[in-house]
Amino acid sequence: MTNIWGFLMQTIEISIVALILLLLKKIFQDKLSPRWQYGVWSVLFLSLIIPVGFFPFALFPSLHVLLEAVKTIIEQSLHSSYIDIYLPIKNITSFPLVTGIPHSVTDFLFVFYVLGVLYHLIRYMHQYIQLKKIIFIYGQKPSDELFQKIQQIETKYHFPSCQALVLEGIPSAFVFGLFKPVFVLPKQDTLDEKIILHELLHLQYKDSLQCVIWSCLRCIHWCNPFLQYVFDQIHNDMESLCDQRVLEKLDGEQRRDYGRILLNMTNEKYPYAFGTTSLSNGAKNIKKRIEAIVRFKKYPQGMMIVSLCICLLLAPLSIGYFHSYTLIGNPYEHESFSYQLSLASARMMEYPTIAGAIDTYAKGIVSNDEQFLLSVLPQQDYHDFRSVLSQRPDSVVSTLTYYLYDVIHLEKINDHEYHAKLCFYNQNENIDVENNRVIAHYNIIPIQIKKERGWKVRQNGQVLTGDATHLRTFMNSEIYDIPIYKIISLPCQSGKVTVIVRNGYQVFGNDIMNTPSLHAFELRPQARFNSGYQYLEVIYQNHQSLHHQDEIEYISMNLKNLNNQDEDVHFEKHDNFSDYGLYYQSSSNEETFFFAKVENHTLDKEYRFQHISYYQEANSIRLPETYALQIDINGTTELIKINMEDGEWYES
Amino acid sequence: MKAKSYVGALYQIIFGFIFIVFDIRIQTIQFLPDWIGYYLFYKAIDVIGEYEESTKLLRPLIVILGVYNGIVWILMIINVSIESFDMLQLFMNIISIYIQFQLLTNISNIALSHHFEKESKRLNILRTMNVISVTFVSFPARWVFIQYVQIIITLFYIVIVVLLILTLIAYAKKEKT
Repeated sequence: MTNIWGFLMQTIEISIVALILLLLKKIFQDKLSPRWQYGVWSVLFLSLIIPVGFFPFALFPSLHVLLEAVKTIIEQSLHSSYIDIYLPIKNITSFPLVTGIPHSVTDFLFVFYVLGVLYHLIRYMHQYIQLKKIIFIYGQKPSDELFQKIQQIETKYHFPSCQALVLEGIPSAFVFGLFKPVFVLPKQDTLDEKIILHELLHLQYKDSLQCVIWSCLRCIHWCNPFLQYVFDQIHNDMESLCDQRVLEKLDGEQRRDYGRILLNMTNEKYPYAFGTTSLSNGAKNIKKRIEAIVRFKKYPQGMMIVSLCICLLLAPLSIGYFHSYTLIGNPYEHESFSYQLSLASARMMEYPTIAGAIDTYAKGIVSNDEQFLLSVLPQQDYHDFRSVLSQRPDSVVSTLTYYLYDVIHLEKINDHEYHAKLCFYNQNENIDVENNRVIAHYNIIPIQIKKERGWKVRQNGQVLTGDATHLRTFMNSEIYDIPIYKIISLPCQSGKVTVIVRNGYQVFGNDIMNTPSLHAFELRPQARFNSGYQYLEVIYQNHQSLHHQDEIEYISMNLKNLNNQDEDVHFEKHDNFSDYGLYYQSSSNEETFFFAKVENHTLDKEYRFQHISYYQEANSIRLPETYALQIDINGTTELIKINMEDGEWYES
Repeated sequence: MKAKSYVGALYQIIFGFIFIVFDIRIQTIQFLPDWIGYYLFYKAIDVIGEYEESTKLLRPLIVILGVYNGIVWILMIINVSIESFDMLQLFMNIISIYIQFQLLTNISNIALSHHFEKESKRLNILRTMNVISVTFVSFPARWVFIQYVQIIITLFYIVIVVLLILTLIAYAKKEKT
């Protein structure tokens, strides 16, 4: 935690977890054992040590958004050196760190809080050192009788042996110390065995070390009175658990005696110090412990499993796993608090997938939704977000096409950056009746996708607009003759092969299916590219000598998808050339066959055909990375492998 | 007479499990609503509580679950989303796990006291397996399980519940004779 807002978020979220646990403990107060009652605090322990905001989840995301909005409003007029106004609150650690010299009021508040933490820690350490001095200076060896009693109990219950000292003036026995605990006893003529048993059980289960850990965590939240109450409850539950362990080792009458011992302690002082455990923990708490003793029973076998299962179900609370962030509605009044809330919710959105980020950006462009665009805006643009958003392309329309947009030219720059182009088509009433072709107006936006709290998107160049002819509709993908494609040129024995590649990726979903009117778009932060196409135009030119060319009767080509470069290739057989006429083509998703009868071959004549592969994640159909092309001239064949990674992207 | 009502209570528990575990739905209407299952549990507790006193402690918890599931059932019929009920659902799952565990433990103890050792032992084992499988089925962060693991967990849960119901039926028949 490096600023006051980080601390506030941490302590509020932990308080909510604590409240939930207190509620559950109340429900199961008389039903689940003291082991569970104490053990369930392990969920709170996880919450205390896991920084809030570390994961992209929250118990109540709206609370985080509220805090973020308040932070932005307050910090706008301050010049904090600990806080970036527009950077969402996110803790890297669950303990405070001062990262510089304070400047603003909130910085000083944070420093004051940190000083409070240090003060409480130092106070505890001072107490510990003082008590240690008192024990070792004034503590005396116990009498032989007492020493034997302690040894007998240690032997009977297989406890590790420990040093025992008698100290005058203390109201009840306690265990002191972390690494070499000491059993400290009051100066009394007699000391009940059950008291000794209670303290030795504290020793066996290292309760004083647990107390130290809880006390340190308590210091971090010194200014949260609710959590201070919770830590007191944790301490009481630890004592109740120790009572349970004592009772399990005693029989009927002895258990009643134990209850009487506790009753006698209700009027005594409550000796609590850092690094100690004690039989007495205050009159009110002793009353509750006695009530628990009355309810004592040996819990059924298997109760441990129930307790563990319940703790397992509660564990996600510690990372705030319940809800991802979502956008809060965008009001029109730009100076209202609601507007700040909507901006805060947008900044806190995280997109774990590239497709999810691009999808939101595309929807924001088409629907002119500032919030969608803001939620994918990179941090570097936050301070100037209004200016950045005002420069977005307007009048981008997407109509009468099945998919809202295509993503093409998706290129990985490095692990933290991708580039791509976002294509929108408007096919509205653009039909060239005269030439019998469909034309769409396109907008192509170059984008950069950066890894930053998930992925963020920004425009990365000038928007390209124009009209393009419709080439094909295949599996609901409409492919247009847009001026961006890849060219792969490959020489072969008989000539040259040029492959023009157009591919596109889409996110398929019900709301993506396009209608002429704009509609509310659903956020899909975890979207994936689950649909796509690869459209190939293969052009072959024969460069053999004139003599050879005159002898060509036919040229046929087979193009087949391959899973990898080394795959063995087997083409479908096509023998009945006489049935094919002048030109013939047959295609499937896996293979295309092309035949051309050569009657008058002219120099540099191009023989061309098209092939489309589609990608569907649902059916595990992938776009091929390699193709095999077989060229057959009068029965003489040659095989070429075309690797999709080769070639250059081309923009006309 | 007492024995007859105990067998009746056992059958109420059996049908209660059927209503709670199995979900037959047409559009928004659930034909085996959970609240009926909890109502049957509530009726059965009166009788079982005469044999095992601690069973009566379950009464308020069963009421909570019955009311909650009743409300959810109505909301689903009128097509109101319950997606934001995650936290509440977690509470209810926890209470449900405890109720099922304790109820089956009590029935197992009664079986043992009636000299049905084999049935008692079987019930204890199935009770424990049921708790574990319900936990994994109810786990809120189910993204940690890949899809086929989720399917295996669900199938395991169904198998355990079916075995549990069959065991209870067999035990009820023995108690009847």
